[in-house]
Amino acid sequence: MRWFWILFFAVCPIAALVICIIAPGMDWWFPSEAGSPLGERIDSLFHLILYIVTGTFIGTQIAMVFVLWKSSKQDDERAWFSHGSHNLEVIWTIVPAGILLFIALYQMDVWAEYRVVSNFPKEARRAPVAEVMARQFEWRIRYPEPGRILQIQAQPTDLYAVNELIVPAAKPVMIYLKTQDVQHSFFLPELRVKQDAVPGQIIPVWFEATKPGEYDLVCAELCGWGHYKMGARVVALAEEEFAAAMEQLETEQSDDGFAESGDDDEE
Amino acid sequence: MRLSSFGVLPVSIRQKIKLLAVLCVGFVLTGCDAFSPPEAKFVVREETTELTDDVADSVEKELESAFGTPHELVAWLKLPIDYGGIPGATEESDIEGPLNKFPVAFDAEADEVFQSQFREEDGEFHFGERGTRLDWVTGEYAGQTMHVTGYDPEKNFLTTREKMEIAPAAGDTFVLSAGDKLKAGRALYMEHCMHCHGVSGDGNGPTAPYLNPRPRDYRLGQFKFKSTKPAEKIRRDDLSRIIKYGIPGTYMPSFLLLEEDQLLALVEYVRWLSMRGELEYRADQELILASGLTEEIIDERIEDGDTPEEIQEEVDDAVAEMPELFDGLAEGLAESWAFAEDEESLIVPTVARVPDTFESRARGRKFFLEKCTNCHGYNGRGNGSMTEDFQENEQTKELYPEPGLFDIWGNPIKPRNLTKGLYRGGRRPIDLYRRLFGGIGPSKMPNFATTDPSTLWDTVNYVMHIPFEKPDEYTEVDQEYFEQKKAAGGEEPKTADRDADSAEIKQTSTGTTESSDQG
Repeated sequence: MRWFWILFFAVCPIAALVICIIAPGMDWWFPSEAGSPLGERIDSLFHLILYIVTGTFIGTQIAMVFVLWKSSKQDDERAWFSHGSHNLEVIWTIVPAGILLFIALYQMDVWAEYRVVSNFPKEARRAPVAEVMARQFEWRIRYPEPGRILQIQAQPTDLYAVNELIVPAAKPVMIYLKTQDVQHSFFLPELRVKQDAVPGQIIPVWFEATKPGEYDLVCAELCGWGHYKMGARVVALAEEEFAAAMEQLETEQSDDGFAESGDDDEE
Repeated sequence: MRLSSFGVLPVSIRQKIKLLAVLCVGFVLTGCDAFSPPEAKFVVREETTELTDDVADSVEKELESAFGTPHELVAWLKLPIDYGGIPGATEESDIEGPLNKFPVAFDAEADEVFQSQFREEDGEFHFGERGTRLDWVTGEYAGQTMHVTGYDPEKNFLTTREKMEIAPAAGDTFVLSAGDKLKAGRALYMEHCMHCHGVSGDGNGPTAPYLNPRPRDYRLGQFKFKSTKPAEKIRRDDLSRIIKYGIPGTYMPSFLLLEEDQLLALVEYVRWLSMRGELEYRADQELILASGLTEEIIDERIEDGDTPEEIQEEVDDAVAEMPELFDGLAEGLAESWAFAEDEESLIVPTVARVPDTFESRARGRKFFLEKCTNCHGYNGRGNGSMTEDFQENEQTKELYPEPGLFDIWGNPIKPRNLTKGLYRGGRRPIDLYRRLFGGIGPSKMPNFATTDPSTLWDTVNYVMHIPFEKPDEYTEVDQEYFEQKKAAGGEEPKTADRDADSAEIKQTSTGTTESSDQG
């Protein structure tokens, strides 16, 4: 029975340790590999925290086991009551505070690049690709006409789409995020982007899809009974394909239905 | 008082805990099944309930035999619905019964369907132990249903679960997995649409009361945003477009992420619900307006001296003729729904879009002043005089209690505010052209099918530009228009203008909108 309990209590820390060590290598706790350079840096912050926590975990476990093991050998010595140690308390307050401060400072670069507009990549800031308007329960998208700059006010030449945001791949892009009604959240799990859309505000968001492909776009803020319906996609295309897609959108949107009538109508 | 006495019953806390424990054990043992939601049912139209009982029962029975229930759908082949399934025929073979394997031939397209819908293993398609259904259409087994467990596409052999005594003759036809599409459509409808549009498509699902505008009630067979000529039904393509892109300005969201076959299945189910509803509606109209078989009319007739026997005879006749009535109505319905898919129903402009210039928009503005300001207002803000008049209900011939416009479902509607740049039926020029050409029947927007196409394009150009209009951009155009009218209108204005004119006078007399007769 003794061995059962020993093994039982040994399994938990060992399993935790194994998971901590192999987790970064497997894509267990992220939706997928980070699809953007900034996403990779955000992931590495997660990993850093994981290492710190793992180190702390191992240290405390060893200390605890050591104390248990050592006291079990001292049959003749009685336990004594301690009412705190000022020095110890100072140490275990300052050390974690130092670690937290380190994390806070260490992640500032990433945070600033992600959130502070003046730190956004210049090329993204210069030409926002689209305005994404969240509403119950879909994403309405407005692009500028190819060759033009997106304006805050709708323009006669603007192109419109819904639930599919097309962006160029391998290049930082910026969107303006708005909401028509309540609060929504623009969430690209694979690209590690999450930004609330707040009524009355135009919020710039930037991201970069490293590889061309389709990425999920979902709402991450419970916005009403149809919250779950707000699934959409971001399609990242190579530069030329992106231009072609925009042109196609333009053709579709200026469709006057005449061409499809065929030749017999013209005669 | 009686209820509150329950609260003061001398129940101790210990007893309450015991009761709770018993309940918990009960829930664990019975599971959620004991409290499963009520069975999904097709609701009956209000008009049907007004019919005298025998007739109403007969209508309901007829509907159930033609369409089934939400749990057990019936594929009525009279209707132009693609119920799904793979048609095939048996081939010549020398296998003698009893057998459960026979050679078949499918259409060329069947291959793709098999590939996309079924699992292939070792060069053979498997349909599980229960198998997929096979409905015999002709031959020895016509009308029977069997189950196919496997299909070998190389040798073209079907394996059935049932043993057949006699081999089916060569050329006997059957349908494999009949009704698959409708069933797939139902599953998607229940997942995505039902909570607004309701199980029966009556636009009265659980969330409907909270929505404005109300979700569409399909049961009149009428839709607003279609690409067909004024009198025609909606096309499959129009429904797919609406489901795919949603309707901005309403609660209809976009379902762009549905797969193409899911979308088609959903469209088919909506068409099916719509036809079901329309058939009930038309039967009711027939039985009420032509035969007068409502409880109310019968009571009146008895008061007027008709004998109950006479009336009972009429009722019995109506019940006896119900299948014929349904058959006849369904035939008409099938024809109109099928014709909507025909190229001839589609609105196709005979002239390409007129270049979007100021001159074109000015011509459009004049047409707008002529025809559109009654509802859409002088500046296109959707505040025309009609929104302040009392309108007549077409069915009851009475005025609505509230001023403003009402659609055929009896919901209040507002003429679109065109300054917002929000186009419910799509924002392509062709969409706006079709709105003008075909009108929006259910909301009583008139059609301009007989108007010169280039004038319609001018108007499309004008309307699309309203959100970007500069102040006073059309002042001169307006002045010119009113001067022309004044010059032409020394005598009686043309009949077509009369409505617009009288509306303008009304506008000034109510004093709430811009006065427009200063010209």
